[in-house]
Amino acid sequence: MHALDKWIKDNSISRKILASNLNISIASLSRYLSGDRIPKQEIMEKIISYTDGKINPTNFYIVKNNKNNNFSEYRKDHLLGIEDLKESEISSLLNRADDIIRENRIQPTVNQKYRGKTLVNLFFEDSTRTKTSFELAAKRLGIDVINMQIETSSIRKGESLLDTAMTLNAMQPDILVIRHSLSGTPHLLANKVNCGVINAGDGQHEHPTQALLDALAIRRRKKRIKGLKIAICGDIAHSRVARSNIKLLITMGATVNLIAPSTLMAEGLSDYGANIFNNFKEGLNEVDIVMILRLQKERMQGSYIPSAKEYFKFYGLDREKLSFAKSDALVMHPGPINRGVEIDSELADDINRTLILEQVELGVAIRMSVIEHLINNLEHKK
Amino acid sequence: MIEAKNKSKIVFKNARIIDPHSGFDDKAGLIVENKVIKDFGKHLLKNDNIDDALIIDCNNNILCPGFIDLSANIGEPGEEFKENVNTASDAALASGITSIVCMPNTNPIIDQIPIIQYIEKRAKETNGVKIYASASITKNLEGEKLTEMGLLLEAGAILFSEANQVIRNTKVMKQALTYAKNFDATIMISPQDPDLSLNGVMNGGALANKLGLPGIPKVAEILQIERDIRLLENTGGKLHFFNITTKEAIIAIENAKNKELNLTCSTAPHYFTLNETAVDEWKTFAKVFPPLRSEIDREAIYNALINNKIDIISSHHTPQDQDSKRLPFEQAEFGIIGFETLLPISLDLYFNGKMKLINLIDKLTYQPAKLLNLNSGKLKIGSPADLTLIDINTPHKLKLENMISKSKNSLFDDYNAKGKILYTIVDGRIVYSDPNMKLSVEKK
Repeated sequence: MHALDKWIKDNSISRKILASNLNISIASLSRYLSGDRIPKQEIMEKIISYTDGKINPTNFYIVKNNKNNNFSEYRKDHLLGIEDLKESEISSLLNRADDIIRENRIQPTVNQKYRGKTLVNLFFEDSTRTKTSFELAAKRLGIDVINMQIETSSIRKGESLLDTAMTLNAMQPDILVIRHSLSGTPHLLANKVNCGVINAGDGQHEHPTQALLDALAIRRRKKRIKGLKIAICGDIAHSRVARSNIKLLITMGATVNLIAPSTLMAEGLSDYGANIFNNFKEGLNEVDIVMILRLQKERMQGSYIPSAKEYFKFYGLDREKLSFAKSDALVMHPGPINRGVEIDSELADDINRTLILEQVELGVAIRMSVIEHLINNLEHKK
Repeated sequence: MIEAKNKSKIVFKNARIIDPHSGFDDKAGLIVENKVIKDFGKHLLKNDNIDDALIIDCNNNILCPGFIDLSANIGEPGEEFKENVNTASDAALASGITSIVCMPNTNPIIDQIPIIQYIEKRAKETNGVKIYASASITKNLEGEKLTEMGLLLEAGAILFSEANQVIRNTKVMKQALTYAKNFDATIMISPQDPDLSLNGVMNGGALANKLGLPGIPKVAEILQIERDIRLLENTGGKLHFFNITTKEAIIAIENAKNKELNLTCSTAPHYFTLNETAVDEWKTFAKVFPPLRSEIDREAIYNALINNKIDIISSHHTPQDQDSKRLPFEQAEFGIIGFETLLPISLDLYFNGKMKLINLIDKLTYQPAKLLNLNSGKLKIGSPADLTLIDINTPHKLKLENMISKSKNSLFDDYNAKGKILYTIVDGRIVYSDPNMKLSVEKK
């Protein structure tokens, strides 16, 4: 069921009443609900305000059916990074996520297929959205979830990381989701355990599920990734999200512009084929998507940039800077947002220009897709 | 077994004797008597007509002074679980090394006389490789107050170093160079700017970025070298840079040498054999300080040795146990073991780099001896009989499990090597002989 249909039902009105209130024909409304057409901006705005924001643009971007319905292209046991993924592997992960979104909307039931499987969330770094997103994804698949409390675990008692991993491994989980402040940690564990390992962010290295969900959001909105021009702006040097996104978007055929002050730009990224800019005007020219990265507080105090105020003036995204991009350019942010530092607060809330909340929603689907792939691949091996 | 065969007189015949000090490289023989070299030369090639001597037929293998390793970590005191004086000694002797200089960054730090005495005592007990202790330049390696250099030298310290650190405070470094000059003591520095290399774990650049690891940019090395050279120009004295890894460093040092400063430098085999790609996917065995650099730098170091712009090759032997390396890359300890790979890897300069063998051996023997003011490292009548006999032709494979060092953190597993040590002699005693070789000893 389309989210708007559900809303109509929940609010005990009819399609007819809604159509007349929106000042559109029932036929048009039906086409929106079937996914044949996407509402124009002014109508979208009406729908959003009429439903108090319960319905947002995401709900209209339904990918109808994927021709490539088998998700067998991704055959790896782990998802450690985007680095070595092929286009077909990335597409497989995205396609399945699209299917999941469609299935979920039609029939939101808990999957029985994965009952009895276990996923361990091993988070050595604070995280709300990624951890809950994995937890929700697993639960929707009917998988048991264990959240490792790092503060109280033996790691604080001096047990080494590998010993902890081996102990967990002995409990035979199916999936180990790890986030760690040190680069390469998921790879280290993947070599030692028998289960599937998902990198939920390692140091300044990679954050593959974030890049996948960003790609999914872009593909659903723009119908493609290939040929798009995408700008990634902000703290490129310290961002694992940026690294994963650069690799993924270029692999999928997009043009990537990186915009950052020189102190926050990393060396060697042009090797991947990205274009380097240090001002918005040039970097945003003809851009379809603007991705804003989070700026860590400790970097705003003089070591990389003199102040948050100066950063916002030159590198914070506001409507004026956004006007350098295409008129229908969309804004993304992996969250959590520093309002008034990297993005103008009012712009961040503009549901017509930003995909920020949609990104969070799609994160669950992409993580379900990844978990399914890994479990199927491991089953297949047995 | 070898002990029993030790005699006060040993005669080497049918050897190719190489002595970089005198430039001698010819078929010859050598006589050791009462711990010292009694005679050597062509006239002794076939000579075995000596009473009551152990006669070793060298079968045209190379007899040269034992190697002198300018920088090594031997685990004592403080990290005996990684290496101890006995295992270090065994590993060194099996590698043709007869003298080593140990680093001061032990626990406790070598900044006072009793620690020097302790190392001396342990070396005496072990009765193997000669161990010379370097002392720290500043108390507790804090970079603030100078150690008692004069007293430490009297107690046996051979030089002063801050191990892998530099002296951040320029004034203190100036004082150190100036004060050391009173005693003609050598200051030895591994030059990396501490601010630029802070938290860095591998070579700064594209690869570090790809792996998400904080880098140590090559400019860190050049900056430190240039600062210290400026100070040396000002103060005079003896300065040695060890673990040189970059192309620009060589140029800076060459320029300074042209100004006739008392400056020398050295590097370690991994810096001219491996580049940063050895880090691969967070391989902690490739985590060394200073880091493995780019291919351009590796090649520059390799060529600088051939062109005699680097004076000495040292192993910078740094044993690390498994628990120190089986960690995420950033948490793992720095270091690679080096004794047993020192010669086999360096020989690549001879086999593939067209370096003369005598020049290569010079960088392992006479050059370090000269820097340290040692009487060994050369074949001179009356000099200590510290010798090694090397087979450079028979190929063999280096294997981690065969390594004698207590820790096995080497990147050279399965390396196709040449350069097998047949005998090592310290003060006229056979302290090592290749276990697979039949002792070709003739007794008269």
